Amino acid sequence: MLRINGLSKIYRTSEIETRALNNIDLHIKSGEFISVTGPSGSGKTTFLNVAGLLESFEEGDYFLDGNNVKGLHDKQLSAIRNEKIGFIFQGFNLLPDLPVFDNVDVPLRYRGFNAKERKRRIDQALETVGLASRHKHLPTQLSGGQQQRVAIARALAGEPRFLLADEPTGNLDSGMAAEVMQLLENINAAGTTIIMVTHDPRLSARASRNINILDGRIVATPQTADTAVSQPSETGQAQHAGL
Amino acid sequence: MLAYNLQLAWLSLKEHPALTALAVAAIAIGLGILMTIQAQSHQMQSLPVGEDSDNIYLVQIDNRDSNAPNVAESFEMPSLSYRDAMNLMAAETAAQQQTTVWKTRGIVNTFAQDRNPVRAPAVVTTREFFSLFKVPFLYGSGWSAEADEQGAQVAVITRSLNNALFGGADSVGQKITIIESVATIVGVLDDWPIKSQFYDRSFFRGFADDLFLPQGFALNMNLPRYTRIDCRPADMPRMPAYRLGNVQALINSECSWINLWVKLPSSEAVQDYQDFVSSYVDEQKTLGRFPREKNNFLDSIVTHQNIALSNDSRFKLYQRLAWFFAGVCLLNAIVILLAKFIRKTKEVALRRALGARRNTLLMQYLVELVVIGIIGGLLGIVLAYLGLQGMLEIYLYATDYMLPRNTVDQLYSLDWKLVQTALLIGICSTVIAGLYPIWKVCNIAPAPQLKTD
Amino acid sequence: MGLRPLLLSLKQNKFFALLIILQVALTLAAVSHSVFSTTVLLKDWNVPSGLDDENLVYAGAQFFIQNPDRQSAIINDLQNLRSLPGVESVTTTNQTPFAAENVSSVFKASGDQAQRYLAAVFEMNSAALDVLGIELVAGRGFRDNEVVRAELSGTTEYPAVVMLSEALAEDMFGDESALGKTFWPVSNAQPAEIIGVYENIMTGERLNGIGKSYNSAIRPMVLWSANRFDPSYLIRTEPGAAPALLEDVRSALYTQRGRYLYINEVLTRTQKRMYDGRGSQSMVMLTISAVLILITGLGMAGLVSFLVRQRRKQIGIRRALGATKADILRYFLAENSLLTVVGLVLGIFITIAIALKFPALSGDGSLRYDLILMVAILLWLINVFAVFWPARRAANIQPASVIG
Repeated sequence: MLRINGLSKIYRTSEIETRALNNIDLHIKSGEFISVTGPSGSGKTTFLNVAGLLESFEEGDYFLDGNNVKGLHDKQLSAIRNEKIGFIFQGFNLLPDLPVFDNVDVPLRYRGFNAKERKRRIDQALETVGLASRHKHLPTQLSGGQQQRVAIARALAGEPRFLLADEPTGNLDSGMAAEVMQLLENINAAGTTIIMVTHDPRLSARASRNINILDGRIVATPQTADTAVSQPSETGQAQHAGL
Repeated sequence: MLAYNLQLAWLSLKEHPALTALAVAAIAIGLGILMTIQAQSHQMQSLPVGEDSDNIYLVQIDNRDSNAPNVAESFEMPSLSYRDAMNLMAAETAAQQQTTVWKTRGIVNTFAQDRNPVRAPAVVTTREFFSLFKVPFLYGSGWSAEADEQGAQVAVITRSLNNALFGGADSVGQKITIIESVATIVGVLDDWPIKSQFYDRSFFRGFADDLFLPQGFALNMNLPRYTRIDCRPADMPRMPAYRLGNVQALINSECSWINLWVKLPSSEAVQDYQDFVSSYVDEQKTLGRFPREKNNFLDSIVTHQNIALSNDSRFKLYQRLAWFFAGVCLLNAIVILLAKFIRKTKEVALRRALGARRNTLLMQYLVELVVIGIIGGLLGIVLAYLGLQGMLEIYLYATDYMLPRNTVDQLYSLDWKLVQTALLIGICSTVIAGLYPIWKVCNIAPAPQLKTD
Repeated sequence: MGLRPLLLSLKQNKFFALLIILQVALTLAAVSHSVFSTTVLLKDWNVPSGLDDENLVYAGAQFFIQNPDRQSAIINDLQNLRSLPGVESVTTTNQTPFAAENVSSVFKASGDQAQRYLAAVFEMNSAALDVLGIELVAGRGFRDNEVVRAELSGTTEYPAVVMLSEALAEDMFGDESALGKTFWPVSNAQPAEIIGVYENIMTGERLNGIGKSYNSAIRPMVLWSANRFDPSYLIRTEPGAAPALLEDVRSALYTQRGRYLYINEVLTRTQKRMYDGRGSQSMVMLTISAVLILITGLGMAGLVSFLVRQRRKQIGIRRALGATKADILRYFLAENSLLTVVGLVLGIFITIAIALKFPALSGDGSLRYDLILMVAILLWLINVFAVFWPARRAANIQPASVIG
């Protein structure tokens, strides 16, 4: 589903050239739950941004469902983000002026669905995250865990091919974090691929596969892509039981 | 603390130069437009005779026919007939000083062969005109009481006419011709800085009167009456003759054309004079004059000037628009200041968390507002100066450059009082404009602002 | 892009929204009223005069001595002026084009019930058409023996013929030919026969102000009187000679002692004077209006650039969720247009209310809906323009740099 070959992300100033990502090769199959780990400044977030088409890259290729996204126009990139990728951020990143319902609505608007279809999807997504009763609340009226669940609903509503989560539980206390993690696992179990950046070893342990990034390189993939494919649901169940 | 606040204000102004510039520009432009108009208004309201302007009154008696409409303001009421003016002048009254005024035009020439005659707008009056209205002299003085009585052939001319006829030399004692009569110059006026011709009630701005003549002399010469003449309807057909024909007809008529100014230095004097005019009217009524109900007016120069100003419809239009426009500019400033201060939300939260009291922060932003107000005010004064220069040029253009610049430029000038007012308005309006924004910002609870971005 | 998200977002920024709406509304009202009074002022402003004003000189002298010989003075003046090098022809006249403020009621029937027409009646001699440099449209000009020359109070004879301008002829007689018709220059006085119709010439500010700029008639007469201004002179010069000729005209008229020159100028200046008051007033109004529009536009640009900065993160989130650059641009333009339109509607009501309350403010109360609409569209365009730049900067925000 997602194949990256020899990808490099280079920041250039007039004097220095920094490779934030250096010659990355990666293959992710549908249904995987990938955790991305690494120390601060290692390039995790850059990787997520590039994978989420929020940033461009200089070298290598990035195939998404078999199509190379390299050199696509902004409009095409926006459409791919809108249709195929769901984002979950550490800081939730809800739009503060909009109630829950309308926050979930944002990507659907850009998708161009009609009002009926949007409502169906929003209701379904809020149902999934267990916030159907809160659709009129403003983000500030919700707890952190609830806010993150709204963000997850927003990411899910477009029925994306994969979710990109950047420290999704980083701003939450342990109780809420467990709830959110459980939700993500359920979503993954239902078939959505998840790529999650985290520095919490307990969370990464629950992923089907771990990618460790150091100085812009992938240093170890403990499990091969092939073995991972058959495992997601099992691993998910196992981790769940261990909680 | 003030120094610290000033320093913070300066840093904050530099922080968002574009927004600061916009706020300052909005205030400056609004103020510039407003001050351009207010300066003219202020100059037009300046008192022609200083504090005495309040003590010098125009005497008016309703000598119209019985069908004339009722009049509530002195502006609409005619002046005096020749007979009444002379009667009132001759009586023993509470008036400290008094003079009559009407206007004409003289064709003036010297005896030099190489000069052509010039037309001079002229004032026919008495010797007390000059002391009553504090008219400054360059050479010589006004004429004597005897000259008034005898209608002596004397004249006072202005500095500009003296320049035209005598090249600016001291011409006291020189002879000039007025129409076909010969007159001796007894005085030359210095520049008389009045903004409009109040003394004939016209409040005309522009061509200054160049020649001042004793009434007896003017009547002997039968000079035309280019002055406001109010006649009863039955007399209207004779108006051209009243203006241009033999003056005796006008003197004998009930038409009103002579302005009588009296100086009444106290409220008792005013009361005395009012009683005097009232009894005069009663007395004349017994002689069959004054068909209407008694309706005397005794309004000061200030009152007349204010009425004249409020009747200037074009200027009022400008004034209304100026306020309107200044309002829009101020609104603009509010929007920009709101934008500017809302950006500070986080800084406020931080300072509050570090222990700043709300009032301290309010002070800090007030100082910043005052700095913006001062800069806006100063720029506004510069803009007002440019605006006034522009209005002066436009006025000169609109009057076809027939008015000498120096006779009108005072109307388009700023003085210290205006500069102070401008600064004050600039600061006050900025503070008013910024009050809501800073109040809003300073009341924000610190915690949530610090926690999230 | 739906309306709902915009409204929800504005609900959180009510004060801003209100201020923008108010500002747009007041700007519209202020500018509309300036435009109203300007259109009234500039109605028929600088319309074609039908005259080559730069080759015409108007000069007048007035006696101040008692009982001068006016008749011989006029004869002398005409001789002296005609003999000046550069002068082509001269006529006496009672008033001049561009300053013919002496407007009379003229009639095509006698009796008190007769309909009156307003016109500037010129009194000239047989050189009239030559001096004015205009052609006859129909009929003929004056013969010299038709010109009445008399002392006003001593004459019982008045001109038997008259010429009308095309505009006056059409005003009075419509499609019918005016030639041969009878014309009363004064009610119930001696009538005259219309013998010619000439091309339109500008009269003066009074007729211009009522849209009858070209209503004029010329009578063949030269009158003088002690109670009246002496006839003045209209002089046609060789092309370009007029400015240099003024000094000669002055000397020529001053050779007669006992009088003074009250006017001596090229008609270009008379024409300028006719219009400059209204022109300058309009200029002031329009300048202030332009400044106001500029300030409003700048304010709007400043505000939106603030909102853009304020919403950087929001914009980033929207971009991450699939908004294209065009979506972001549209969002800001739509938000601004929404507020602007509400402001404009409010402004239209304010404008109308003011116009009804203070008719004088807009110059004889002429409320013109088409003008309000034009000003409204202009304001909207300027606001769109003002918003475009900051909004484009918003669209270029890199999502990765503001979220995470």
